[in-house]
Amino acid sequence: MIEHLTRNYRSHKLLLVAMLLFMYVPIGVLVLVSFNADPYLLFPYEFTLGNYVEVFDGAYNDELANSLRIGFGSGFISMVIGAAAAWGVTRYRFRFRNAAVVVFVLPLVVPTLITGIGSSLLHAQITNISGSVNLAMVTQSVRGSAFAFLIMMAQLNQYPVELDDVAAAYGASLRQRFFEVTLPIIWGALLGAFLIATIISFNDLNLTFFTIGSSSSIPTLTFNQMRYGLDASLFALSAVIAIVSVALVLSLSLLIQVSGVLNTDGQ
Amino acid sequence: MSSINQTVPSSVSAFRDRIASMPLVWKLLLVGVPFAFILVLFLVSIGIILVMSFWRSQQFQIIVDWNLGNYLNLLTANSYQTLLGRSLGMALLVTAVSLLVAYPIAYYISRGLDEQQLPILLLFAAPFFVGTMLRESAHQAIVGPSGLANQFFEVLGIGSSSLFGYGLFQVFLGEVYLWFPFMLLSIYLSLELVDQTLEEAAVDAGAGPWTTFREVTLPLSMPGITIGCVLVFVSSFVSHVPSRFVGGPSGSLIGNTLKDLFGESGAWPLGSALGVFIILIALLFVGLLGAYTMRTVPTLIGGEHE
Repeated sequence: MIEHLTRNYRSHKLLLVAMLLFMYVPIGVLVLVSFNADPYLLFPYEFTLGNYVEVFDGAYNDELANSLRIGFGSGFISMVIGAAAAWGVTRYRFRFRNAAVVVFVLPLVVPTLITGIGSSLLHAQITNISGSVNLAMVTQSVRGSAFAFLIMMAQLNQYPVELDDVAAAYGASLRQRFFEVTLPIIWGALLGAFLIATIISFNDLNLTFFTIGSSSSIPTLTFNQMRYGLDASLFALSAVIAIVSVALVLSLSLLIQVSGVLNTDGQ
Repeated sequence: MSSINQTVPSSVSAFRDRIASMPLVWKLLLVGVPFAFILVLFLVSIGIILVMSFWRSQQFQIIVDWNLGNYLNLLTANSYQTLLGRSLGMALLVTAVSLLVAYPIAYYISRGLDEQQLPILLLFAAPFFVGTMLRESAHQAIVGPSGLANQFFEVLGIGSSSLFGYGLFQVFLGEVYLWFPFMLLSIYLSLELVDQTLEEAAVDAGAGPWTTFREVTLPLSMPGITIGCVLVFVSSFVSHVPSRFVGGPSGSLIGNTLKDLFGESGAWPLGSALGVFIILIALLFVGLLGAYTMRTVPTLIGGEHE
């Protein structure tokens, strides 16, 4: 910290708090009205758990199961693909390496509406695969892999290569090196990549919309319902999803700290 | 990517030699398989938009008949031009406002906070992961002539305001709400990469805080500004959810047209041409901004070494 540049940052702090409010007030309102009999009315506020009871009675079981399958499936595929790509790119020297990095990150830059439309054309015109939950899962993995790739790159750039070398010098097999050296160091990043890709894929509308066919996920159901207003119970489910998503992302800071501690122990 | 090379100490060259002699099959597996995955599912699917934009459709049938009709249609029809202009203006405004708001916050997080940096950043990032649909359904419930906000202000006795009605202002707020995290994180990351000894040197040389910021920090954080602007511009330019649900009757954007062309209308080739058009405009923006950054950053870094 540079003494001369240190200020009290009062206006910065004010802006920060205002922007956090801007980001979280809608989510807070969502939670608040999810306990109201009619979420579109603030008054009278009739506190009820009825909306939540409907959700737990299985009003959205199909859509929830689809979303979970898309989320976790894509989270797993993304983690594997992103980690493999990041490992290859950080470890191996080859021609077009920088181009490969750009290609892996590109799905983040192209809006999902374009990618979603492209996917629907691809499968309608070339592969002849009709839309399904599994197709949505695989399509989400393209974007999920890009997130996983970035997270794994950040970790692998700090990876102490010497440890692998030492282990190899003492005769550790490739398998031993992976499970006893590599995995203990990178598990935090792997889990982070998995979680981020899962949450992104679970909540994304566009890629799923164009590839899920006649099935529905929670985001596509919300999209279709919103023209006429959401059912009260969908507010309840949305509130749960919002809270769980935010909590999982915030827990990443713990995960990063824990795996950071392990890293320094390892060194 | 030269930074990666630098972080690997020279003592590992033996390790690298062994890696170099590793079977090609490993390289193929670790880079080739992910690359093939992205190539087929992403690059080919973008490519097919380009191909189809030169075809035509007739009564829900797609006919392979190479022509420029879709592009001529887009260039001559007034409705598309109005929408494109409105979307372009909206995206530029959203980008500019996000930048002006995000920069001081990112600066404060990077320079004014220590241990709270990561939690605060994640707090800003988390809403992004909640997804477009969920956040916009909350937004939609709040606004509107008789939405939750106006109900609240009625009860307080302030009375309802047209600011909370459906319209372009709410679309603007919705876009900032959705894409702000991109801007904040990009700027924060590049501020973290700025070599702070350069700032100290400027202060030692007698520069005031404002001069130090304008001459050192701001130019060195241009890459983050550029990436943030590109992400926010492209995302809000092609966005379709806020404009559909809080835009009211005259709040449509080009993203809505694009999506609808791939829905019931069956006009996929025309939609593809519009998609290509949108990608070209986005690329133009990326190119202009990238060229500007390239011009500013190296001169400054070069100057430092002299």
